[in-house]
Amino acid sequence: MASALSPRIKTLNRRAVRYVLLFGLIFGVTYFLFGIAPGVRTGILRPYTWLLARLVTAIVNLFGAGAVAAGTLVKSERFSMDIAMGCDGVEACCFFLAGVLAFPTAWRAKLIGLGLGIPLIQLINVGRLVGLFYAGTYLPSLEEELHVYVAQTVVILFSTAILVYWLERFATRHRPA
Amino acid sequence: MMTRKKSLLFPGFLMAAVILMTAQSAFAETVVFTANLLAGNEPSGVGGGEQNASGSSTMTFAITRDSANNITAANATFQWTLTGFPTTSVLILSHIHSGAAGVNGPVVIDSGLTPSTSIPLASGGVSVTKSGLLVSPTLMGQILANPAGFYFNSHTIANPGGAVRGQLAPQQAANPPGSTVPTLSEWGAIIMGLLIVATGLFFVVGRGRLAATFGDVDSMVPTDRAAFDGKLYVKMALAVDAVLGLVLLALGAHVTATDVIGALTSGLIVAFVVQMFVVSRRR
Repeated sequence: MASALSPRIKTLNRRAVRYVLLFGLIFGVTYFLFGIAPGVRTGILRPYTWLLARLVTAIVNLFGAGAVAAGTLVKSERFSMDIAMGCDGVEACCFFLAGVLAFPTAWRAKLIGLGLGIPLIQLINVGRLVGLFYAGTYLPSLEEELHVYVAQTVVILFSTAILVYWLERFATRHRPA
Repeated sequence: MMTRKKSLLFPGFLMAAVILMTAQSAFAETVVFTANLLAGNEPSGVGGGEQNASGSSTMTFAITRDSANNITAANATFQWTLTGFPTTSVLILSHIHSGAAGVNGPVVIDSGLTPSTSIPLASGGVSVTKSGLLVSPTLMGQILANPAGFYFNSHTIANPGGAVRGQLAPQQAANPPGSTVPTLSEWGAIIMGLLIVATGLFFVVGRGRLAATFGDVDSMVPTDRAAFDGKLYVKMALAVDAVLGLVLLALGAHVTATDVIGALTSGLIVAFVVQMFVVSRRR
Protein backbone atom coordinates (compact mmCIF):
# COMPACT_ATOMS: atom_id res chain seq x y z
CA MET A 1 0.00 0.00 0.00
CA ALA A 2 2.76 2.37 0.99
CA SER A 3 4.75 1.73 -2.13
CA ALA A 4 1.62 2.14 -4.26
CA LEU A 5 0.93 5.49 -2.65
CA SER A 6 4.47 6.73 -2.91
CA PRO A 7 4.15 8.44 -6.33
CA ARG A 8 0.96 10.13 -5.14
CA ILE A 9 2.72 11.41 -2.06
CA LYS A 10 5.49 12.66 -4.26
CA THR A 11 2.85 14.52 -6.25
CA LEU A 12 1.57 16.14 -3.07
CA ASN A 13 5.09 17.03 -2.02
CA ARG A 14 5.73 18.54 -5.42
CA ARG A 15 2.57 20.59 -4.94
CA ALA A 16 3.84 21.66 -1.55
CA VAL A 17 7.21 22.71 -2.85
CA ARG A 18 5.53 24.51 -5.73
CA TYR A 19 3.21 26.26 -3.24
CA VAL A 20 6.13 27.40 -1.12
CA LEU A 21 8.18 28.60 -4.09
CA LEU A 22 5.21 30.39 -5.63
CA PHE A 23 4.37 31.93 -2.27
CA GLY A 24 7.90 33.27 -1.94
CA LEU A 25 7.98 34.55 -5.50
CA ILE A 26 4.58 36.24 -5.37
CA PHE A 27 5.25 37.75 -1.95
CA GLY A 28 8.63 39.01 -3.14
CA VAL A 29 7.18 40.62 -6.24
CA THR A 30 4.14 42.16 -4.53
CA TYR A 31 6.15 43.38 -1.56
CA PHE A 32 8.68 44.93 -3.93
CA LEU A 33 5.85 46.62 -5.80
CA PHE A 34 3.88 47.84 -2.81
CA GLY A 35 6.52 48.01 -0.09
CA ILE A 36 9.67 49.14 -1.83
CA ALA A 37 9.11 50.53 -5.34
CA PRO A 38 9.29 54.30 -4.82
CA GLY A 39 6.73 55.19 -7.49
CA VAL A 40 4.03 53.06 -5.88
CA ARG A 41 4.96 54.13 -2.37
CA THR A 42 4.78 57.82 -3.13
CA GLY A 43 2.09 57.71 -5.80
CA ILE A 44 -0.35 55.27 -4.23
CA LEU A 45 0.53 54.34 -0.67
CA ARG A 46 1.28 57.83 0.62
CA PRO A 47 -2.11 59.16 -0.56
CA TYR A 48 -3.63 56.01 0.90
CA THR A 49 -2.08 56.73 4.30
CA TRP A 50 -3.53 60.24 4.10
CA LEU A 51 -6.91 58.65 3.40
CA LEU A 52 -6.43 56.30 6.36
CA ALA A 53 -5.60 59.28 8.60
CA ARG A 54 -8.82 60.98 7.57
CA LEU A 55 -10.83 57.80 8.01
CA VAL A 56 -9.42 57.18 11.50
CA THR A 57 -10.02 60.83 12.40
CA ALA A 58 -13.62 60.63 11.19
CA ILE A 59 -14.22 57.44 13.18
CA VAL A 60 -12.74 58.70 16.46
CA ASN A 61 -14.54 62.02 16.04
CA LEU A 62 -17.84 60.15 15.89
CA PHE A 63 -17.20 59.53 19.57
CA GLY A 64 -16.06 63.06 20.33
CA ALA A 65 -12.29 62.65 20.25
CA GLY A 66 -11.81 66.12 18.79
CA ALA A 67 -9.01 64.93 16.53
CA VAL A 68 -7.78 66.54 13.35
CA ALA A 69 -5.98 64.97 10.40
CA ALA A 70 -2.92 66.75 9.07
CA GLY A 71 -1.34 64.76 6.27
CA THR A 72 -0.68 61.36 7.76
CA LEU A 73 -1.02 62.67 11.30
CA VAL A 74 -4.04 62.12 13.50
CA LYS A 75 -3.75 64.71 16.23
CA SER A 76 -5.71 65.48 19.34
CA GLU A 77 -4.83 67.45 22.43
CA ARG A 78 -3.77 64.31 24.26
CA PHE A 79 -2.15 62.18 21.58
CA SER A 80 -0.84 62.30 18.06
CA MET A 81 -0.37 59.35 15.78
CA ASP A 82 1.42 59.15 12.46
CA ILE A 83 -0.05 56.68 10.00
CA ALA A 84 3.15 56.35 8.06
CA MET A 85 3.82 53.89 5.29
CA GLY A 86 4.13 50.53 6.97
CA CYS A 87 1.03 51.25 9.06
CA ASP A 88 -1.14 50.62 6.05
CA GLY A 89 -1.51 46.85 6.30
CA VAL A 90 0.27 46.34 2.99
CA GLU A 91 2.63 43.65 4.29
CA ALA A 92 -0.27 41.66 5.70
CA CYS A 93 -2.14 42.00 2.40
CA CYS A 94 0.96 40.90 0.46
CA PHE A 95 1.24 37.76 2.63
CA PHE A 96 -2.44 37.01 2.17
CA LEU A 97 -2.32 37.68 -1.57
CA ALA A 98 0.70 35.39 -1.96
CA GLY A 99 -1.00 32.68 0.09
CA VAL A 100 -4.11 32.84 -2.08
CA LEU A 101 -2.44 33.11 -5.47
CA ALA A 102 0.08 30.36 -4.73
CA PHE A 103 -2.61 27.89 -3.70
CA PRO A 104 -3.51 25.34 -6.40
CA THR A 105 -7.13 26.17 -7.09
CA ALA A 106 -9.30 27.82 -9.73
CA TRP A 107 -8.78 31.46 -10.64
CA ARG A 108 -12.38 32.19 -9.74
CA ALA A 109 -11.73 30.98 -6.21
CA LYS A 110 -8.54 33.02 -6.04
CA LEU A 111 -10.39 36.16 -7.13
CA ILE A 112 -13.04 35.52 -4.49
CA GLY A 113 -10.28 35.14 -1.92
CA LEU A 114 -8.61 38.38 -2.85
CA GLY A 115 -11.90 40.25 -3.13
CA LEU A 116 -12.96 39.00 0.27
CA GLY A 117 -9.69 38.94 2.15
CA ILE A 118 -7.85 42.13 1.26
CA PRO A 119 -10.73 44.51 2.11
CA LEU A 120 -11.27 42.59 5.37
CA ILE A 121 -7.59 42.86 6.30
CA GLN A 122 -7.70 46.58 5.57
CA LEU A 123 -10.80 46.86 7.74
CA ILE A 124 -8.99 45.07 10.55
CA ASN A 125 -6.09 47.48 10.11
CA VAL A 126 -8.40 50.49 10.40
CA GLY A 127 -9.81 48.96 13.59
CA ARG A 128 -6.25 48.50 14.83
CA LEU A 129 -5.42 52.16 14.15
CA VAL A 130 -8.57 53.37 15.89
CA GLY A 131 -7.80 51.12 18.84
CA LEU A 132 -4.24 52.41 19.04
CA PHE A 133 -5.46 56.00 18.98
CA TYR A 134 -7.63 55.30 22.01
CA ALA A 135 -4.83 53.31 23.65
CA GLY A 136 -2.47 56.25 23.20
CA THR A 137 -5.08 58.62 24.55
CA TYR A 138 -6.33 56.70 27.56
CA LEU A 139 -3.66 54.07 28.25
CA PRO A 140 -0.41 55.73 27.23
CA SER A 141 1.64 53.53 29.55
CA LEU A 142 0.31 50.40 27.85
CA GLU A 143 0.18 51.77 24.32
CA GLU A 144 3.53 50.34 23.23
CA GLU A 145 2.70 46.85 24.52
CA LEU A 146 -0.75 46.98 22.95
CA HIS A 147 0.81 48.03 19.67
CA VAL A 148 3.60 45.46 19.66
CA TYR A 149 1.81 42.43 21.05
CA VAL A 150 -1.97 42.76 20.95
CA ALA A 151 -2.61 44.69 17.73
CA GLN A 152 -0.18 42.65 15.66
CA THR A 153 -1.51 39.40 17.05
CA VAL A 154 -5.03 40.45 16.13
CA VAL A 155 -3.97 41.30 12.57
CA ILE A 156 -2.03 38.05 12.15
CA LEU A 157 -4.70 35.77 13.61
CA PHE A 158 -7.61 37.41 11.78
CA SER A 159 -5.73 37.37 8.48
CA THR A 160 -4.90 33.69 8.94
CA ALA A 161 -8.49 32.97 9.92
CA ILE A 162 -9.70 34.64 6.73
CA LEU A 163 -7.29 32.47 4.74
CA VAL A 164 -8.51 29.32 6.50
CA TYR A 165 -12.12 30.31 5.80
CA TRP A 166 -11.30 30.86 2.15
CA LEU A 167 -9.43 27.55 1.90
CA GLU A 168 -12.30 25.66 3.51
CA ARG A 169 -15.16 27.46 1.82
CA PHE A 170 -13.84 28.24 -1.66
CA ALA A 171 -10.34 27.02 -2.52
CA THR A 172 -10.86 23.31 -2.00
CA ARG A 173 -14.15 23.29 -3.88
CA HIS A 174 -12.75 24.31 -7.24
CA ARG A 175 -10.57 22.50 -9.69
CA PRO A 176 -7.20 24.07 -10.32
CA ALA A 177 -7.13 26.31 -13.35
CA MET B 1 15.67 9.49 1.28
CA MET B 2 16.52 12.17 -1.23
CA THR B 3 12.92 13.39 -1.25
CA ARG B 4 12.94 13.59 2.53
CA LYS B 5 16.07 15.69 2.41
CA LYS B 6 14.42 17.98 -0.12
CA SER B 7 11.34 18.17 2.07
CA LEU B 8 13.46 19.32 4.96
CA LEU B 9 15.18 21.99 2.89
CA PHE B 10 12.27 24.38 3.22
CA PRO B 11 11.96 24.27 6.99
CA GLY B 12 15.73 24.51 7.18
CA PHE B 13 15.63 27.58 5.00
CA LEU B 14 12.92 29.12 7.17
CA MET B 15 14.91 28.43 10.30
CA ALA B 16 17.96 30.05 8.75
CA ALA B 17 15.84 33.06 7.85
CA VAL B 18 14.53 33.26 11.40
CA ILE B 19 18.05 33.03 12.80
CA LEU B 20 19.29 35.72 10.43
CA MET B 21 16.44 37.99 11.43
CA THR B 22 17.26 37.34 15.08
CA ALA B 23 20.80 38.42 14.42
CA GLN B 24 19.51 41.76 13.23
CA SER B 25 18.37 42.89 16.66
CA ALA B 26 18.56 46.63 16.33
CA PHE B 27 19.94 48.99 18.90
CA ALA B 28 19.06 52.03 16.91
CA GLU B 29 15.86 53.63 18.08
CA THR B 30 13.84 56.42 16.57
CA VAL B 31 11.63 58.56 18.73
CA VAL B 32 9.40 61.31 17.40
CA PHE B 33 7.98 64.29 19.22
CA THR B 34 5.61 66.91 17.90
CA ALA B 35 4.77 70.42 19.05
CA ASN B 36 1.80 72.58 18.16
CA LEU B 37 3.28 76.05 17.79
CA LEU B 38 1.12 79.00 18.80
CA ALA B 39 1.89 82.64 19.41
CA GLY B 40 -0.44 82.49 22.38
CA ASN B 41 1.90 79.99 24.09
CA GLU B 42 4.64 82.62 24.46
CA PRO B 43 4.59 83.69 28.14
CA SER B 44 6.02 87.12 27.35
CA GLY B 45 3.42 87.84 24.68
CA VAL B 46 3.88 88.45 20.96
CA GLY B 47 3.76 91.69 19.00
CA GLY B 48 4.52 92.95 15.52
CA GLY B 49 1.33 91.60 14.01
CA GLU B 50 2.42 88.02 14.73
CA GLN B 51 -0.21 87.35 17.39
CA ASN B 52 -2.13 84.96 15.14
CA ALA B 53 0.89 83.00 13.92
CA SER B 54 0.99 79.28 14.37
CA GLY B 55 2.77 76.20 13.16
CA SER B 56 3.79 72.67 13.90
CA SER B 57 7.08 70.96 14.53
CA THR B 58 8.11 67.34 14.23
CA MET B 59 11.34 66.41 15.99
CA THR B 60 12.77 63.02 15.13
CA PHE B 61 15.53 61.66 17.36
CA ALA B 62 17.78 58.82 16.22
CA ILE B 63 19.07 57.20 19.38
CA THR B 64 21.81 54.63 19.76
CA ARG B 65 21.93 52.43 22.84
CA ASP B 66 24.53 50.01 24.15
CA SER B 67 23.85 46.46 25.23
CA ALA B 68 22.87 47.68 28.70
CA ASN B 69 20.25 49.91 27.08
CA ASN B 70 22.12 53.09 27.95
CA ILE B 71 21.93 55.90 25.42
CA THR B 72 25.34 56.34 23.83
CA ALA B 73 24.56 58.84 21.09
CA ALA B 74 21.66 60.76 19.61
CA ASN B 75 20.96 63.18 16.84
CA ALA B 76 17.86 65.05 15.83
CA THR B 77 16.02 66.17 12.73
CA PHE B 78 13.68 69.13 13.06
CA GLN B 79 10.90 69.68 10.55
CA TRP B 80 8.74 72.66 11.25
CA THR B 81 6.11 74.64 9.42
CA LEU B 82 5.04 78.17 10.22
CA THR B 83 1.89 79.94 9.01
CA GLY B 84 -0.13 83.07 9.67
CA PHE B 85 2.81 85.47 9.86
CA PRO B 86 2.80 88.92 8.27
CA THR B 87 4.61 88.84 4.95
CA THR B 88 7.26 91.14 6.41
CA SER B 89 8.25 88.70 9.17
CA VAL B 90 11.70 87.14 9.18
CA LEU B 91 12.50 83.87 10.95
CA ILE B 92 15.88 84.12 12.67
CA LEU B 93 16.11 81.26 15.19
CA SER B 94 14.46 78.00 16.17
CA HIS B 95 15.41 75.82 19.12
CA ILE B 96 14.31 73.34 21.68
CA HIS B 97 14.42 74.93 25.11
CA SER B 98 14.00 73.33 28.49
CA GLY B 99 11.03 74.63 30.42
CA ALA B 100 7.46 73.72 31.23
CA ALA B 101 4.47 75.40 29.59
CA GLY B 102 4.38 79.09 30.44
CA VAL B 103 7.99 79.14 31.63
CA ASN B 104 10.98 80.36 29.63
CA GLY B 105 14.16 78.31 29.76
CA PRO B 106 17.58 77.96 28.15
CA VAL B 107 18.23 76.61 24.65
CA VAL B 108 19.19 72.94 24.74
CA ILE B 109 19.16 72.00 21.03
CA ASP B 110 19.81 74.57 18.34
CA SER B 111 18.41 74.06 14.84
CA GLY B 112 21.44 75.75 13.32
CA LEU B 113 19.35 78.60 11.99
CA THR B 114 21.01 81.95 12.74
CA PRO B 115 20.18 85.60 12.07
CA SER B 116 22.74 85.50 9.27
CA THR B 117 20.86 82.60 7.65
CA SER B 118 17.45 84.06 8.44
CA ILE B 119 14.41 83.13 6.37
CA PRO B 120 11.99 85.85 5.17
CA LEU B 121 8.38 84.71 5.55
CA ALA B 122 7.27 86.50 2.38
CA SER B 123 4.34 84.16 1.89
CA GLY B 124 3.38 84.35 5.55
CA GLY B 125 4.93 81.02 6.38
CA VAL B 126 7.65 78.51 5.63
CA SER B 127 8.58 74.87 6.00
CA VAL B 128 12.08 74.13 7.22
CA THR B 129 14.04 70.92 7.82
CA LYS B 130 17.32 70.74 9.73
CA SER B 131 18.99 67.42 10.32
CA GLY B 132 22.10 65.99 11.94
CA LEU B 133 21.65 68.01 15.13
CA LEU B 134 23.76 66.46 17.86
CA VAL B 135 22.09 65.71 21.18
CA SER B 136 24.01 64.64 24.25
CA PRO B 137 23.00 61.27 25.74
CA THR B 138 22.16 62.95 29.07
CA LEU B 139 19.87 65.49 27.42
CA MET B 140 18.28 62.77 25.29
CA GLY B 141 17.47 60.82 28.44
CA GLN B 142 15.92 63.91 30.02
CA ILE B 143 13.73 64.59 26.96
CA LEU B 144 12.58 60.98 26.84
CA ALA B 145 11.79 61.06 30.54
CA ASN B 146 9.86 64.30 30.46
CA PRO B 147 9.12 65.69 26.99
CA ALA B 148 6.60 68.16 28.40
CA GLY B 149 9.50 69.82 30.19
CA PHE B 150 10.85 71.02 26.84
CA TYR B 151 9.45 73.27 24.16
CA PHE B 152 10.11 74.19 20.54
CA ASN B 153 10.40 77.90 19.96
CA SER B 154 10.73 79.91 16.75
CA HIS B 155 12.01 83.46 16.93
CA THR B 156 11.55 86.32 14.49
CA ILE B 157 13.05 89.78 14.16
CA ALA B 158 9.80 91.24 15.49
CA ASN B 159 9.78 88.81 18.43
CA PRO B 160 13.36 87.81 19.22
CA GLY B 161 12.22 86.28 22.50
CA GLY B 162 9.93 83.90 20.65
CA ALA B 163 7.04 84.23 18.19
CA VAL B 164 5.47 80.77 18.37
CA ARG B 165 6.11 77.92 20.75
CA GLY B 166 4.78 74.53 21.78
CA GLN B 167 5.63 71.86 24.34
CA LEU B 168 6.99 68.56 23.09
CA ALA B 169 4.54 65.66 22.97
CA PRO B 170 5.41 62.08 22.12
CA GLN B 171 4.18 60.99 18.75
CA GLN B 172 3.11 57.49 17.93
CA ALA B 173 4.85 57.07 14.59
CA ALA B 174 4.80 53.84 12.72
CA ASN B 175 7.54 53.43 10.23
CA PRO B 176 11.01 53.73 11.69
CA PRO B 177 12.33 50.75 13.63
CA GLY B 178 12.71 50.80 17.39
CA SER B 179 10.24 53.07 19.03
CA THR B 180 7.75 52.68 16.26
CA VAL B 181 5.88 49.63 15.12
CA PRO B 182 4.21 49.22 11.74
CA THR B 183 1.20 46.98 11.10
CA LEU B 184 3.67 44.13 11.33
CA SER B 185 7.04 44.36 13.04
CA GLU B 186 9.91 42.21 11.79
CA TRP B 187 8.80 39.36 14.02
CA GLY B 188 5.16 39.96 13.18
CA ALA B 189 5.98 39.66 9.49
CA ILE B 190 8.00 36.47 10.03
CA ILE B 191 5.26 34.87 12.10
CA MET B 192 2.50 35.88 9.72
CA GLY B 193 4.49 34.63 6.72
CA LEU B 194 5.14 31.33 8.45
CA LEU B 195 1.49 30.99 9.49
CA ILE B 196 0.24 31.64 5.95
CA VAL B 197 2.73 29.14 4.52
CA ALA B 198 1.90 26.57 7.20
CA THR B 199 -1.83 27.02 6.60
CA GLY B 200 -1.47 26.65 2.85
CA LEU B 201 0.78 23.62 3.22
CA PHE B 202 -1.65 22.04 5.64
CA PHE B 203 -4.30 22.15 2.94
CA VAL B 204 -1.91 21.06 0.19
CA VAL B 205 0.00 18.34 2.02
CA GLY B 206 -1.66 17.63 5.29
CA ARG B 207 -5.15 17.13 3.97
CA GLY B 208 -5.52 14.46 1.37
CA ARG B 209 -8.99 15.77 0.62
CA LEU B 210 -7.59 18.26 -1.82
CA ALA B 211 -6.95 15.69 -4.51
CA ALA B 212 -10.35 14.14 -3.83
CA THR B 213 -12.20 17.42 -4.13
CA PHE B 214 -10.51 17.95 -7.45
CA GLY B 215 -11.99 14.61 -8.51
CA ASP B 216 -8.53 13.12 -8.79
CA VAL B 217 -9.37 9.93 -6.93
CA ASP B 218 -6.27 8.10 -8.11
CA SER B 219 -3.96 10.54 -6.46
CA MET B 220 -6.04 10.81 -3.30
CA VAL B 221 -4.25 10.19 -0.07
CA PRO B 222 -6.29 8.34 2.56
CA THR B 223 -7.74 10.80 5.00
CA ASP B 224 -8.14 8.29 7.76
CA ARG B 225 -4.57 8.98 8.74
CA ALA B 226 -4.05 12.12 10.72
CA ALA B 227 -2.04 14.92 9.15
CA PHE B 228 -1.01 15.92 12.62
CA ASP B 229 1.06 13.71 14.86
CA GLY B 230 0.99 15.23 18.33
CA LYS B 231 3.97 13.34 19.72
CA LEU B 232 6.07 14.07 16.67
CA TYR B 233 5.08 17.72 16.83
CA VAL B 234 6.12 18.02 20.47
CA LYS B 235 9.48 16.46 19.63
CA MET B 236 9.95 18.73 16.65
CA ALA B 237 8.89 21.81 18.59
CA LEU B 238 11.31 21.00 21.41
CA ALA B 239 14.11 20.39 18.94
CA VAL B 240 13.51 23.52 16.87
CA ASP B 241 13.02 25.76 19.90
CA ALA B 242 16.08 24.24 21.56
CA VAL B 243 18.16 25.18 18.52
CA LEU B 244 16.65 28.65 18.48
CA GLY B 245 17.20 28.93 22.23
CA LEU B 246 20.88 28.16 21.75
CA VAL B 247 21.11 30.77 19.01
CA LEU B 248 19.42 33.32 21.27
CA LEU B 249 21.79 32.44 24.10
CA ALA B 250 24.75 32.81 21.75
CA LEU B 251 23.54 36.26 20.78
CA GLY B 252 23.27 37.07 24.48
CA ALA B 253 22.85 40.73 25.25
CA HIS B 254 21.75 41.55 21.71
CA VAL B 255 18.50 39.68 22.26
CA THR B 256 15.37 41.42 23.51
CA ALA B 257 12.31 39.85 25.09
CA THR B 258 10.49 40.41 21.79
CA ASP B 259 13.21 38.46 19.97
CA VAL B 260 12.76 35.54 22.38
CA ILE B 261 8.97 35.49 22.01
CA GLY B 262 9.17 35.95 18.24
CA ALA B 263 11.82 33.27 17.72
CA LEU B 264 10.13 30.66 19.91
CA THR B 265 6.73 31.31 18.33
CA SER B 266 8.26 31.01 14.88
CA GLY B 267 9.92 27.80 16.01
CA LEU B 268 6.54 26.32 16.92
CA ILE B 269 5.22 27.05 13.44
CA VAL B 270 8.35 25.73 11.73
CA ALA B 271 8.05 22.55 13.82
CA PHE B 272 4.45 22.16 12.65
CA VAL B 273 5.54 22.41 9.01
CA VAL B 274 8.39 19.93 9.51
CA GLN B 275 6.15 17.36 11.21
CA MET B 276 3.62 17.75 8.41
CA PHE B 277 6.24 16.83 5.83
CA VAL B 278 7.43 13.90 7.91
CA VAL B 279 3.88 12.63 8.39
CA SER B 280 3.16 12.95 4.67
CA ARG B 281 6.26 10.86 3.99
CA ARG B 282 5.08 8.18 6.38
CA ARG B 283 1.64 7.87 4.81
